[in-house]
Amino acid sequence: MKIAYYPGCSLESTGIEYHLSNKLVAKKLGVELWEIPNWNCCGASPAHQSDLFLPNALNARNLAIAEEEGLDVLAPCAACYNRMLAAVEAVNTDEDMREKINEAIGRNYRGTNTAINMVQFLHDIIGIEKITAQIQKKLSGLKVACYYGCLLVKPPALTKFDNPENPQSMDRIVDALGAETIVWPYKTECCGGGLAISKTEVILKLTNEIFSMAVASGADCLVTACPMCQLNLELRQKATEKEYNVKYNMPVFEITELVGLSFGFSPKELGINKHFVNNDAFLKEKKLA
Amino acid sequence: MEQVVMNTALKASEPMLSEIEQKSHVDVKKCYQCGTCAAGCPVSYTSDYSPRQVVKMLQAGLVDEVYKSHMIWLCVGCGNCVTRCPRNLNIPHLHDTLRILSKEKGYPCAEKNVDIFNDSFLKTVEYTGRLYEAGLTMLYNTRSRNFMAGMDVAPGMFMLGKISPFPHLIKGRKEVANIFKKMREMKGAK
Ligand code: SF4
Ligand code: SF4
Ligand code: SF4
Repeated sequence: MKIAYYPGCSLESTGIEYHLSNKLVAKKLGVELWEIPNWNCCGASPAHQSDLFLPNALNARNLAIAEEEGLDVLAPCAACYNRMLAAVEAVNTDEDMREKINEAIGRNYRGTNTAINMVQFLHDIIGIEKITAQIQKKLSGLKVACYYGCLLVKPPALTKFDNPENPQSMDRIVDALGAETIVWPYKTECCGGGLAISKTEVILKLTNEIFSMAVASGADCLVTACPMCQLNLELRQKATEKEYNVKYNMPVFEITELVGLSFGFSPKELGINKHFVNNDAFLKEKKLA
Repeated sequence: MEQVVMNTALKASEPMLSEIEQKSHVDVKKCYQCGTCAAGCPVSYTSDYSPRQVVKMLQAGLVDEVYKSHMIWLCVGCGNCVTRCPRNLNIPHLHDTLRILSKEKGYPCAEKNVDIFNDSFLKTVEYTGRLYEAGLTMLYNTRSRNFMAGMDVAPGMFMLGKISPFPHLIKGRKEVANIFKKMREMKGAK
């Protein structure tokens, strides 16, 4: 199987471990990731907050290159995924917008393909059975809070993926890996990612609420499917601890990192040693390193 | 019986309101003020108005106040409100539209740093085709006069080899620059 792959800007820098893990896991599952040649930035929040046309055109260019190959696009970042879907929708519902976009990108994007997020890819397209078939090591002993974040499932009219308040697909994958998934209510609460630089105090409050709920629910780690969620939750964890006088020291993994560990790859191959929250001791204790 | 106009603000704001409605495709009249959006909004606590209040103010014709509000700049687009709204109002898209219009009309921006961050981010995309983190940090820090922003975490990023000091120039950057050009043409044409 072949699918177009749109890493997005974070996967080449702050989220490099997610990139490495995706590639290894896909290969093991027999999937060819066709990286969109010369892809451009999706524009993230700054684009859709600044103009109605810009975000759609930026995303349409990437989508058009994949459409020319007849491929849907796997977008491992929840924010990219969400913005791509919005562009597909705009092109399909707004004739005028489509014309202007195609003029600007110098291509003929018809809106016949779509974006797929990482959980959707593993759960709906590959399927639990094929994942289970590759498992070499059970992740028993891990108590995982699945954190979907907001843009993977919301708004449901756009994503049409899982349940926006209590999604289950990532939990099913983690269960299949042999880890224990905990029941908790903050699966899709926002971490405030977009304000990380311009208003850091907001994300300290939001991530503190997420971590304290995860701890109270019995989790010892979090798993996400978004490089922005992952970065936001780990990068400022120390500052959050200081601000609220608490101690979490809680690793936040990407879903393909956990899948990769259970497939038998080493933490180093997967880039797990590049996390901001050091997870050496954690992985040793869980006999995963 | 002749209709009595109770609210002169409402009458005066009619053209502005219909512009907002037409651009955002959100009909604020549909809102019945249940407050569900405000209850689940992660940034309401730090904002002057909640999303419910923004909609109420538009219903009452207080467009100026909305254009100057913090809420339109603080909304992170998480989608909690639109997921739960019983009347299906796409509030994050309404906020985006309000922000864009308020800027076009030259209203003072209540959250300058958010605006500067967005601008700096897009500049790097326009010139390189991708986000250029080190460039963004330099631009943002000088323009916001917040020279230490991100500096607490920057050394860690370099140490882990995650952030490159150099931009990644993609081959298609002419096409990307074209998109920005087209956007400006369209803004100018109005
Ligand atoms: S980083 Fe935060 S704001 Fe962005 S998708 Fe994840 S939860 Fe939502
Ligand atoms: S949830 Fe919808 S109907 Fe209720 S106050 Fe908010 S916008 Fe109005
Ligand atoms: S989308 Fe914006 S207004 Fe709606 S809940 Fe999220 S932050 Fe609040």
